[in-house]
Amino acid sequence: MIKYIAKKLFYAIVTIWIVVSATFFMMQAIPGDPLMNEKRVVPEIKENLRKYYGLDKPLHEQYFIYLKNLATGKMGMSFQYKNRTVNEIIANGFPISASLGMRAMIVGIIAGLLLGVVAALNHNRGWDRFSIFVAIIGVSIPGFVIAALLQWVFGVKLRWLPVAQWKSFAHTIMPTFALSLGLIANLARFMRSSMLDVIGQDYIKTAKAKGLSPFEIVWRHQIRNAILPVITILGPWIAVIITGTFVIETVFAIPGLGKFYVQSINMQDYTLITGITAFFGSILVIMNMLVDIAYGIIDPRIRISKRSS
Amino acid sequence: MEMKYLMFYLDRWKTNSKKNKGGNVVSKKRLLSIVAVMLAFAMILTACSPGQPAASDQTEGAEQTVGTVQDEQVLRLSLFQEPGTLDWQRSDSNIEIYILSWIMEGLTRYKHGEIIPGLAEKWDISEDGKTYTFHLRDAKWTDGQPVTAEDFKYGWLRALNPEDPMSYAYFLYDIVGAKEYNTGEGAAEDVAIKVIDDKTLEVTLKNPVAYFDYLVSFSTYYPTRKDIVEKYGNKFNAEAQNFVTCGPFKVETWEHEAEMTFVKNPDYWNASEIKLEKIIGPFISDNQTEFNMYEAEELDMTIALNADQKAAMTKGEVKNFNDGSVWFFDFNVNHPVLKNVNIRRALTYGVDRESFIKNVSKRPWIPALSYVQPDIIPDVNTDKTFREVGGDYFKDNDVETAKKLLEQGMKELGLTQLPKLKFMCNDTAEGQLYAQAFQEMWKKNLGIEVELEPVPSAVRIDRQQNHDFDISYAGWGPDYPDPMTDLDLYTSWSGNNDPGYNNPEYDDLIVRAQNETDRVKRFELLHQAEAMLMRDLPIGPLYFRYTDYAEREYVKNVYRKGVGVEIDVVYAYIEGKNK
Repeated sequence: MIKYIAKKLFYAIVTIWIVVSATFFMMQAIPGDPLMNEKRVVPEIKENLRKYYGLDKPLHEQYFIYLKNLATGKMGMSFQYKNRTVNEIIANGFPISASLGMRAMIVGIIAGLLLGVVAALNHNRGWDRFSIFVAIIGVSIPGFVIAALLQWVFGVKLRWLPVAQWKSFAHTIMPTFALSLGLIANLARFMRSSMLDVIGQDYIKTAKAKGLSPFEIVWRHQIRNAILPVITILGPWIAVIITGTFVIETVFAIPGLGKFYVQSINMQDYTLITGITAFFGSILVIMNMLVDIAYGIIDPRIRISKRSS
Repeated sequence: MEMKYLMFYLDRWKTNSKKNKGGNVVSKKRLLSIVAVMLAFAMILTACSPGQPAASDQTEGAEQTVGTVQDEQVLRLSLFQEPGTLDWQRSDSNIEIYILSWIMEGLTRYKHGEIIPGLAEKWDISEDGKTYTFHLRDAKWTDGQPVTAEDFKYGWLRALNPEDPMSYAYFLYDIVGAKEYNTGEGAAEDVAIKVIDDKTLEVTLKNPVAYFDYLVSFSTYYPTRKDIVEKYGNKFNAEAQNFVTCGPFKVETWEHEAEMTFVKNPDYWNASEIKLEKIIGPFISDNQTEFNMYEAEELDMTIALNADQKAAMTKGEVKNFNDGSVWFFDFNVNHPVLKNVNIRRALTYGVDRESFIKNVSKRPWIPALSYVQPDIIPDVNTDKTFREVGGDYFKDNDVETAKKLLEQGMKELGLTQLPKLKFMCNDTAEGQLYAQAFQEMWKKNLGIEVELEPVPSAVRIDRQQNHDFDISYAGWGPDYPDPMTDLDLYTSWSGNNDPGYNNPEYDDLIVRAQNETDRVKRFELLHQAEAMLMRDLPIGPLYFRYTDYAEREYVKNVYRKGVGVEIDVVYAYIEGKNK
């Protein structure tokens, strides 16, 4: 197992290095530079600024300086936020994005699984149709439309919830719901079909014949068995939710990290682009690694097949 | 398993709502009803399912309308986005500059678009117009220290320090020795800023700069405390608690990326004129979110308003202001075809600005038949603006003249057919839509085919600077309310001369205006310069841009103008909010 983790870790580092290097050289290919401004800076001042930021050095030298700093955890000063380091920007924004992501995950998992279970138990009846509606909405309407609609109805028209910002619990309700809707929809669909599969199995008949109460049948036999394949789709969803917050964060003016994806590239903020990429790259790689390892622990079949191979 | 999560989550609700007692406390019961209604709402969306149990909850929820302050002097407006820096010598963007104008003050300051004495009580100008002696008033920093002439000298030299370059350092280049020091060819000691005593500052300029009293109101010229800069280093003005300022308001809180708040500075020398007690400025970058917050009474005004929002608005009133920008075609005058002035004239005269504004942009803009902006730039000789004195230089949609000029231009070039010209524009939806409108007009009115070249804005700026274009869709905004801010762009040595216009006569007019101490003569020269520019048309003016915005009726005295301080809230107050 240790050897397996070490191997995974090595690949993870190589992956991050490739991502960072590719980003570093690709962003240099965009015309212009971070010092660009609609109002031209006097050429002499621009020259001084380039020197100050080390942009006058040959590209490979800049690259090695950057890698060296990155290895010690320093991602440099942002160009756009002249008094803040990239580390500070990430430390400020990520907890908020992560909090939103976690809330959406929790709501999404609970609501999605419940809807799926209820739908399967009421196959072809009202609740089943309701959960199919939710699934269709969640899958087909993009997050920003939902977000804008929620904001208009609950924030402006009904005035039940604050329109935007991230201050109290009330502020978190709409963004959490908007972000989790896609997950709810997907999980509900998946759980429903998984449950329907299980319901038809012979061991359910056996359980009934044994005289177990309906609750016990649902809880111990149906849900437990149906949920395993569902868990496997959660891995990619964590990534989607943590990285997919750009739109929701913008619509609800949440001070998270999402907006920097787009903004840093528009502003050509070199250090912020590479910093954000390295950070999210690492998160994704680590998530995948954890999911791989978790599979190994949860599912004995995978563990055994890995050993034998 | 799910139940455990649910309980955990309910616990979080409890602690969270306790924490936020002052804000929007949401009871568990109401929360559940909200969740239920959200689900119901999802169904209503598809309009497939009949009556929902939401109706009974609605009356309960409606009472929760956010309670606002009772006649308090609090103004809430969006600050659009986190400022890149509030280090005033380093800052170079609009939003930074207007936030800084609330918390700081220069020797002079803008009040409703006019310049008034700020930290300088009065100033003397020498006969030749080159030496300014500023007499400072008794003013205090927020830590109780007096504002001294030394603070100004330190701040100005800091802006010029070549070791720690600041992009707006060139704002000080009119001072003797400033450019030399900033470009490494001179020393700090040779910059002609002299501290006579604690309260007297003397500055010597290279030329008599008629608008120097405007320049010294600008953030690059703010006084700066050496001890504070040295104490905080790179964190100078980076956090709320680091600020030591001397303006009408002080920074109270700064939650990065989320919100800034400001409170009145009781020690400001003119505090009795400041009525607002607090400014709350969340960073709302999404225009629709800002509008929704305004409609939900979470904001008292908006930064801007688009046509749809204008139609949907239910509160307050729509106002508009000249955002200061003039938009035009940049013609590359070194292009084999566009070097001909008659072709440039044909392209400029042959488009219908009126119709473009009415049918395409649908904004409160006005056609530009000249170059220097209306409204914001006074003509010192009269009580009129520079624009009113100068008037228009050509007619809008003058297709007849344009056709003749095109024919004449082609004859001069010896062409029977124009080669296809390229028209560079921004690749945004709006940028392409606008450019297409003019492309269509050229084709219909003059039979000229141009090819659109949509590029990202950074690429457009880069290529304009390198004169790598045929025609480009460009704009310019003024730095100070004097025509020089527009006209010196087209001198042969200007870094912003994108068309590559090079006319010694024009250069001469600008230099003479720069050295002219007689204000009447100076403005005559500036009008001549504009006339020459409108004769040669290295740029083809299109429109002057105005911006709509919404403001509640109880907000008084907020002043907006596209030059100096774009949002001037310093003298604002709230009246009649709780009628």
